[in-house]
Amino acid sequence: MKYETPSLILRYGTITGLIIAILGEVLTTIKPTLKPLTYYGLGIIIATPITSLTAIAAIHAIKHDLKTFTLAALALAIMLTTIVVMLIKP
Amino acid sequence: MIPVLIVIGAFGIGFISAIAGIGGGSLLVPFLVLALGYNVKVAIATSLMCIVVTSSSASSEYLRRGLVDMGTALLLEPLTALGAITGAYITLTLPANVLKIALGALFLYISAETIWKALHERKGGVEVPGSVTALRKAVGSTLSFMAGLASGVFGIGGGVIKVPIMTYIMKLPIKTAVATSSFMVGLTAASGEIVYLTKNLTDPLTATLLSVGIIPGAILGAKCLKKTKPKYVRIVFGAVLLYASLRLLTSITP
Repeated sequence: MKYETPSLILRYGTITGLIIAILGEVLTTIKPTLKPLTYYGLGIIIATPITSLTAIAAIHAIKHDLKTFTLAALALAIMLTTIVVMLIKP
Repeated sequence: MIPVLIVIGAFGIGFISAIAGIGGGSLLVPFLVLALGYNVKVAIATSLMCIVVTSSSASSEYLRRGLVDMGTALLLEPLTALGAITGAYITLTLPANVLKIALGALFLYISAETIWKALHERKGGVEVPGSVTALRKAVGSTLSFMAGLASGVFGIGGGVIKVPIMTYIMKLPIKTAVATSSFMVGLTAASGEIVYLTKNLTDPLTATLLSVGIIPGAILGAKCLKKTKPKYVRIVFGAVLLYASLRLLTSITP
């Protein structure tokens, strides 16, 4: 099965994240307060595979493929729980 | 000067990795620790970020071509992701010397396996697709937790463990296994990297420079694949990794 939308998300998500991270690094040399821009870029890079997986889960949900959808949702739940725990934990 | 060195080094790693058919993680960490003097935990975290970039770029193409076996990927991924998160937590608590010993031992194993495979290569490979029993699925899932653990602890993609699981236990053809592993590596590395990034262990500049260098290197390596003999590249890769593992093991300070 071909996954056009998840494939596009992976491609353009990574490129966008990388461009923002590079831009952040370049702009930080001029204005140090722009350092968070780099982290936004890296955050987008990490979020890209997770977003792609969400799209895959949605595709299978639409097709009523409950087994694949459940497995995708389980993997997503583990990742999202980690993000929430890491953000809450000091 | 250092940024230029990082980009050139990453370019070389991408080139070698593409020809040798391995992930870049096993070369990125020794490059950062031994050649550039990075702290081992920072090197692991930064390498993992770079792996997310390279894996996402490659699996984008595999997904578009329909090469990924999504059923197998999603069956193995929940436990693999859990393994990667657990692994990252373990690394946060381990002393640097213990990590160096573990990394040295892992690279010693990978180098021995790579050289062995290069010397005993069989044309055509093993392709034994067939039905997969529930027991095989259970064993595959359990072992993929270990692959995730290795990814989180060592900052590698874990393809070196995932591909054998998929070919020998899940009975996938080698090309499907490589594509499926590549897709999974992105998810696994992202899971581990969440922990490192929130703990501020990732060096953003180095991660960006490595990503900028490794992608064109991998593209060029893939293009040169037909002109080079992968057997010799694998032997060179194995030798470099052997050297790196010995350097890591001898760099332990009391």
